[in-house]
Amino acid sequence: MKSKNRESLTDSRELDGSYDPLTDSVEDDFELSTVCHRPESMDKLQEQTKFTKKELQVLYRGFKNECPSGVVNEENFKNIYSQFFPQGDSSTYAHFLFEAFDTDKNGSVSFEDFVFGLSIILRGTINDRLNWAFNLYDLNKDGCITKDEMLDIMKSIYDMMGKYTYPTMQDDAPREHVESFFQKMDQNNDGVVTIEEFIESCKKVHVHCEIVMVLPVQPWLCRSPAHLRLISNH
Amino acid sequence: MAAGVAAWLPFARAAAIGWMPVANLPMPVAPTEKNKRQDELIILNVSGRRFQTWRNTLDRYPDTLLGSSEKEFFYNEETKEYFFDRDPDVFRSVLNFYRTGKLHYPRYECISSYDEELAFFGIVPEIIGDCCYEEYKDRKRENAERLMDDQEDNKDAKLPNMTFRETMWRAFENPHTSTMALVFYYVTGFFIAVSVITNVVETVPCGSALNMKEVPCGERYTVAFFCMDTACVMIFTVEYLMRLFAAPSRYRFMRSVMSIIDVVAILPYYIGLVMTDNEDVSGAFVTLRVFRVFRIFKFSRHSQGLRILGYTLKSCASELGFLLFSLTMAIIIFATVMFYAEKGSSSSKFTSIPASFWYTIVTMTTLGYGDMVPKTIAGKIFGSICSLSGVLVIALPVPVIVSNFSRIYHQNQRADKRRAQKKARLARIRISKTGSSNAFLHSKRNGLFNEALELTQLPYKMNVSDQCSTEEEQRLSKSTSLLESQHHHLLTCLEKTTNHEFVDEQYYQQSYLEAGLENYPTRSPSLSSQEGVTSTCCSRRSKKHHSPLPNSSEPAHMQPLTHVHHQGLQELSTIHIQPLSTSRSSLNLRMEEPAPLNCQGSQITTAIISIPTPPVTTPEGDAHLPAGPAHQNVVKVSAL
Repeated sequence: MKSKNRESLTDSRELDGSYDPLTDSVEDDFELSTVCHRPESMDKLQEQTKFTKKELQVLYRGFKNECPSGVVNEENFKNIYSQFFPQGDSSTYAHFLFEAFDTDKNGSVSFEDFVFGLSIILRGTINDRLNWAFNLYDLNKDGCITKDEMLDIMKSIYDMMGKYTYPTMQDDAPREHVESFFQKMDQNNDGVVTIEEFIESCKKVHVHCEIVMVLPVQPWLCRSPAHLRLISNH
Repeated sequence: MAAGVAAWLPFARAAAIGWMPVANLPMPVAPTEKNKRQDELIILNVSGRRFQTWRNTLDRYPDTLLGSSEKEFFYNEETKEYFFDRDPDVFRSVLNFYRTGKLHYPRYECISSYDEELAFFGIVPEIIGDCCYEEYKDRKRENAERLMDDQEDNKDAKLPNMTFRETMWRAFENPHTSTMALVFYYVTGFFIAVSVITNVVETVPCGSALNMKEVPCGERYTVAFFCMDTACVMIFTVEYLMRLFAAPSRYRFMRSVMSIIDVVAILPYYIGLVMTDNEDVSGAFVTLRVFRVFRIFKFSRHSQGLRILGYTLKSCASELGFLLFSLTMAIIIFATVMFYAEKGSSSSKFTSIPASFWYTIVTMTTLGYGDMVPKTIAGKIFGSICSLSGVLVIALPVPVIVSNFSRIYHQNQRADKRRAQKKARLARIRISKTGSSNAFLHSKRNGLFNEALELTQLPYKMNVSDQCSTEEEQRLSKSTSLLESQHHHLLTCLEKTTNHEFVDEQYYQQSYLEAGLENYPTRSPSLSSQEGVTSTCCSRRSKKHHSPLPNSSEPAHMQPLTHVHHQGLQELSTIHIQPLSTSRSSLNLRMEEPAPLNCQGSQITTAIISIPTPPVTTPEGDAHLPAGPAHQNVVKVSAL
């Protein structure tokens, strides 16, 4: 491997050996830097998810436009997601979302992961959806949500609001939110919320109604510009 | 087998007829083509331009988009063609690759857009043909350098939680990060200059009045110069040790150029301290003092020009080597010739061939000191040939070095320019970001949001505005695109979840200040009759933009704004008055209060007052919309 072919002449970092020729250089030789992932055929995806062919097509076009290599890595995912929340910092929440979508834990979300997740969220039964939401909150995937996990999630959601809010964001807003959440959800008061408590409480509190009403069922029937293609909910 | 060659296979098989008569063994059976599909034409519609090719052509490369089943995702049933919303010009190159097996890079194309298209179609760029490969690599390298420049600037951003050592290293490497670093930078620069000047002045003869002998200043003011030297060396030593301490990889630092220069600069002093005033050793000691001049190289941390020069010389090592080699050859040749030519003449200075070297060098570089001149005719002839060829030999490699220097220098100029423009670029990015958030706030304020909601067919009905706002619907359907409204819906869901609203910076500053001022809790819930209070609020809201509504049917919508007081003590009583415009409303409340204000002809002013509530009245946890029992919050609406 050749060494770097351009030095940093704008400062004297190179002279002090602070410029690492191995990692900081412009590679002259070509490495196969493009990882290309091809998804399964449309028929298979159609069987495994609840989308029609047309919807799959639209989904894939949007996906491929943002990620031509066929997979999203976490950085891209955060970039895409942050475009929707210009005022706040959505990177933590995007990280949690990424973990929830990346079911096989290989550090990247392929089109199949993406479509499976969306299929559950948009077309699944109430139980499926609540299950998915539970999975999102359960950060270490151990089957129960502790207060700390909930606090992390809540902070990340509040981070998305940014600084300029009305009323002014207090520091313990997330914590209070978590307290009230636990009050409602944790029925046996053992400090954690299990999946059954979660589903039951949500059903009681009509959360599922909102999920049905707010989340789109018939997506992507319009042509959308590139940057809103991914979550054009209808 | 290359794609182009495959087309000739039938010919080669037919030509095998020549072997049949002379074959001894029977020929094998020809493979039958199972399920020979009639080759069909595929239409590829790329942004309107239709390309047609055979299916087999595309199947040649099954690990690309067009060659695999991935293209089925782009199949359009109605028009029976594959539609790609990409650049048709670049697609030409892509399709030619399938046809000819060679990928060409069009020179006029931007390298990053070309790379993107290749990535989209799943083609690895390594297979670019030789004819275009160099150009491609050059452009790619330029682009990468540009990106690296941008990243370098980001590197300077201060990372949180840096250890003291890391902070120090960053301060050393980039003096602009903190004032201390800048001070240090200038102090070391000053001391380098002082040290170099001291060394120079030391040798200047200072006239002494008493004795006629001129002594250099160094010997006259020995103590003073010694103190100066000590001070400089102390500073340099401290600096070196600090750098050594802060370096992330000490081993690498110690091997680097600058550290060697540092060591060489301060070592003579210490050696001088250690060595005694020995007669035979002091000669060597004097020689060691020569190394003190290396201190001037320490300036290369301070000067970009020096670094460019050094880098140029390093990168032109081969040209310099060639120059040196050809010069040496010429010197030897001419020296030999001159020696033998001048051998005959008496009292000639050309005593040996090495002695003639001096003459040759001085002549070839057109210096001509004149201390050695040829006297014989032959010597003069060869001497003139020598000086003519000297000019040529030196003039040849020099332009290469010059052009290298020029290229590197311009590169750095460009990098500096880009850095200067970085501010403008960041401002552009910031503007585009705030543009989208401002759009949301703007639409919120003007109440276009809830009308825009009508455009989306949400399952639950808005029975309030149905009857009234048909005209406005039409008006608004033009102004807010569907996507914008969906984006705004998303942002509003977030607002509902956290029970805070997005506001712009101005309003935030305002309310922040007012939150400090207002400490008294308000008791009376209805202020409908208190004009006085109204007026104070109006002034606060005066900055808000009120969009005038048409006089005809005006839907008045409730404007509940839920405020959550987390700290029961400090309540912020807010009164929003929007005499003219509608504003965003929370969806659930509209649902739950179906008997509200309907559209009436007159202008309606609504006042919303928030009642101080006990803390922890946040709406239910993670749902997108606050569910039913949010009534503890604070909404009271009264129509004036």
